Amino acid sequence: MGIVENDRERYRKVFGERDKQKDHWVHSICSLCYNECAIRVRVLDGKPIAIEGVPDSDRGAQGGLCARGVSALMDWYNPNRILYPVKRTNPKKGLYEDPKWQRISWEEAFDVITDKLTAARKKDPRSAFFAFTPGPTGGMRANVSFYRFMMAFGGSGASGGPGVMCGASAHHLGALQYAAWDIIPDYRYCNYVLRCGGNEGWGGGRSASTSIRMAAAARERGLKMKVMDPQGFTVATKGEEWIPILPATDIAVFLAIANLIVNEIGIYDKEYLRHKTNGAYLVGPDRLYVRDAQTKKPLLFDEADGKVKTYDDPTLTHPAIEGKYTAQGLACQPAFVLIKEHLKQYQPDWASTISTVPAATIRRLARELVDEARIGSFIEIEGVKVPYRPACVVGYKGLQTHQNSFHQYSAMHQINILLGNQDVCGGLLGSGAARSLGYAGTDGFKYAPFGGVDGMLTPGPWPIGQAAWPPRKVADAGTAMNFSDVLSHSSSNIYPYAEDWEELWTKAGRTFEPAVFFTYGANTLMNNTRPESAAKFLGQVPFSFALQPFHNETTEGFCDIVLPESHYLETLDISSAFGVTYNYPLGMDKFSFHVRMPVTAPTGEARDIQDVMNDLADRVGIRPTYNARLDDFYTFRKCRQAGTNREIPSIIDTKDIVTNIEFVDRILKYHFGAERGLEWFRDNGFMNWNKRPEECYWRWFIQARVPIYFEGVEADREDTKEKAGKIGFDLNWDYFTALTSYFPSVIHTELPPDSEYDLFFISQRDPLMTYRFTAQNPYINQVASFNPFTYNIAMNVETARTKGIKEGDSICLENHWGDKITGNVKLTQLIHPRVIAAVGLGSWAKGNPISRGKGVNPNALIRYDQHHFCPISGSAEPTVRVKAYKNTQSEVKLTK
Amino acid sequence: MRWGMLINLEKCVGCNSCAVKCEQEHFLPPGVLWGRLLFSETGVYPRATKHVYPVLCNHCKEAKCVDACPTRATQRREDGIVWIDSNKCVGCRYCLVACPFQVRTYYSKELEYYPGQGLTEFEKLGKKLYPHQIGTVLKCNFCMERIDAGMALGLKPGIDREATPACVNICPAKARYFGDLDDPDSEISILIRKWRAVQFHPEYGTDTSIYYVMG
Repeated sequence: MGIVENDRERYRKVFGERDKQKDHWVHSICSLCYNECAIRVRVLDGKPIAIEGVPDSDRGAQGGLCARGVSALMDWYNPNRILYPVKRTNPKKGLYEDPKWQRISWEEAFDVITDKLTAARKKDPRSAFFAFTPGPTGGMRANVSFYRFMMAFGGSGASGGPGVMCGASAHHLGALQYAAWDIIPDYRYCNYVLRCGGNEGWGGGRSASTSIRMAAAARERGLKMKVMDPQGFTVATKGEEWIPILPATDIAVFLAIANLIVNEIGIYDKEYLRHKTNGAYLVGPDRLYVRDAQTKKPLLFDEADGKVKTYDDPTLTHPAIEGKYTAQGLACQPAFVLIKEHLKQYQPDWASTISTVPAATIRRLARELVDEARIGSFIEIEGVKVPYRPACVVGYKGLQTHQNSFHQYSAMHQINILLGNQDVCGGLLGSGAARSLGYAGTDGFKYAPFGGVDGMLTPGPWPIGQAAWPPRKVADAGTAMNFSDVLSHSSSNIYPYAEDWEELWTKAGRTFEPAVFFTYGANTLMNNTRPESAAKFLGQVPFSFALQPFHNETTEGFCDIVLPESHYLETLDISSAFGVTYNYPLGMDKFSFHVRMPVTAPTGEARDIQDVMNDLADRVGIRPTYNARLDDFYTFRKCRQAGTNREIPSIIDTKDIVTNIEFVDRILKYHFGAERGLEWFRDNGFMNWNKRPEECYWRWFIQARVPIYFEGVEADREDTKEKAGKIGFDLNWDYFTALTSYFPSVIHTELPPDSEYDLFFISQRDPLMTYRFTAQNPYINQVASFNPFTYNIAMNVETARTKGIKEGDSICLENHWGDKITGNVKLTQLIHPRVIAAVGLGSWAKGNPISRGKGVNPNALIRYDQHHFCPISGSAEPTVRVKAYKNTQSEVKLTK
Repeated sequence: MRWGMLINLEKCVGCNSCAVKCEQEHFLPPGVLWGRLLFSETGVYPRATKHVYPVLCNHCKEAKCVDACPTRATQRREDGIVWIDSNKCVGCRYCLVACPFQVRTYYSKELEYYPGQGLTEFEKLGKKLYPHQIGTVLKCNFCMERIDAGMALGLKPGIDREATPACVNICPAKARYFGDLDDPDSEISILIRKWRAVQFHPEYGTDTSIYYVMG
């Protein structure tokens, strides 16, 4: 039997009888955004005809589902799906090229790919690039099946999709502060939210349907939400107050609020600072921790007995956060003393000048946050007494995607730390469930964050690779093409797609050249920077291939082979059940455990990613290592072993050759017992068990501290300066400071204040769009065309008047490098006069005829270089300064 | 008995889920939406507000469309549902003119969801399961087939999913409520009073069956 026939035979053995039913419902998991809601799908004569949420499940909207999730059905019927392996017959690669696909067999495709990967691995495994992002078949599949293959191969990771302009800082600080990928208000109990970017609860961004459900219930309960955002037509529509702000200046407001709380109002959570942050760690004259001479552990001063102790001393009861001490012969102070003093410079009037938010508003917000947080109070949840802090400041993209994003996002977290609201009732929670005490039936599915190096919070399960703590050591350049060796705190960053990559990489010695580019889920060309810049890198890779259910600009422009991935309604996937520190379950929602079940047999020769990666791992000879990486993930090995030498039983041995179906069955039985394997979930759908307060509000039940003082960043400054400087990085090294500080984004400094490029162009998330791929769905396109903010460029009415621009005009946006885009104007009062906004669309792929030519591509105006990204987290600066004028050309041309 | 719907605009986020689910539920042809969103804004920067109104057939008690229909294709049932008998509709479109809420669509010609690529299997299936006649007027029917089938099984519309309109079930914000307006003790009647819900354009005198809680 051939490759595909083998797959189909295995499928029939498990699902054949089920599929004989004429009309039935199948439980599965959506993949139209990161949230991956539980769904049930009605199947008639083998064809899906309806999708909805699952009423008894907390994973999603308890029976409801957003428009994207419902629309997925039409994707399954999309006549443009990739159903067979294809190879490029047009040898020319580049933007707008027609690849002239030709169908080939899986055997031929695998033979070519295996040769290329094997040759690359022999020469230097790093020369193989793996670019991925959650795509049309789900977030966790990219993180687990694809990313773990890259780890086993030893390849290089490159931002495949929007990572660099999405959550580079949010996930970095999410790990450091919450042991979770992201954050979300505890909507069930929260009374006051200051939301600064990110459209959770409104339908955009992450946790889509779940947060819509939770936030709507919270509004009904009386939640007050203030929205500080350059535009007021997304989540601000659900707020009781919209506070317009210039992009990337939130940092000034946050620092002023922190100053008011600490130095003027004087009400903040001192017990939280003492016991749950490193604000109590003693800092010496060099601004680094004072450490115990023998153990090298950071020291604290215990006010209870007047002694200096290590952070883990069992007798430590009342660490000081104020005062001056001597330890190890050094004059030192608790880190919080430095912070308190440092904050004094950040006055509301100063912040107002920078941000345009009135000083009186800043003062009012500080007061409201403190009043609403009820610092010092407790609440009993299901018989468990936990701290109660029903107020928070929250944000996401827009807030944390700027050149100054590490400090900007840290400044937001600093306020939440001062309120003591992290992972306590009513406050700000890590997305998903950072701690599980286990499934009661078997004691399986158990994991937790822990206090790691220096006693600092270290996540339990982590979706991709290594979490932000502990950071990597700064290494000499030349080992990583994205310079994550010298920029050791960053994971995903703008390289190798940035304008100055060639120059820096040459100075780094060009230790290897890209040989293979393998992409999954991503549309690298469109989702990183201006297509020309990404094309410059992709064009020099000799061999590129993709695994995708649909074509996009990247496959058509640069891939030599595209393998057909089965549609998510045809896949059996366990990874989307394990995104526990990613998105689910949120707050006190139940652990609703679902498996993504195929609702129908795969179409054509499309295959499941896990089976494809298994086959490739066999062919390239990395299966044992790949198995080990997958096993580490699904057993929660790292956090279960934390601080011990405990042996953790495996699910698969390195020598095992298991198919996806067998592997899923084993994982389920490993955690839930022999009777709850794949067949049980096939027949019963899913299972619920209640989350306990100690799991949801785990913060005071786990011995770990979070950074309010970034000593690790400070410690790496000189080393980073030396090693990065050697290859041509000339950054503002002051940025590497332990104290969260004001740094303006480059968009506020690179042009004079009276520059003709007077507008800030931002890209907002739309509740109908996941990247660009949902725009290809005819259901979505139809309703999107009614929303004036989806396909148009939003501009303030008064700004437009001064420029002679009218509603519906075609306008040209031009940056100071001379790049231009055109689009039609939607005039609104709901945007800052110095800001214009559009959704990231503007596709041209021939394989996407519905979305082709619709909307605009803001990324086309982005030019990244070393001055346009955050030196610590790697986050890009996607906001650009532009001038806007009426387009005199009659037609917008997106294709050549 | 009079079926009605309550939409809490404080909870609604304008995600379009209702509109898309309705398309799927009724195999609506491209260009025809029984439910859709209207957008507007009021105020002046920075004190401006955006408004999103989900609209659908109001199933008016004094329905102008019923009065206007010369063939009695548009009818009002005893339970308040206004529906169109396609077999009687001649496509004169008097109802389109008569309806003050503009929630009716004339189905003029067959279009493809993927233009130029033929009908998908889903669209072909729709022709069998839920056929729409070209040359007739289409509009929301409150999912009356779900209500009828559900009630035949003893289920209660607005309470049991299987007997409740699809847009109510799918709303991720739980912003929609469905029930009997004539029963003062029904959940919908209680909530209309509690939240002081309003009908749109009462001045038209049609006595709509859709109530809104203003956001």
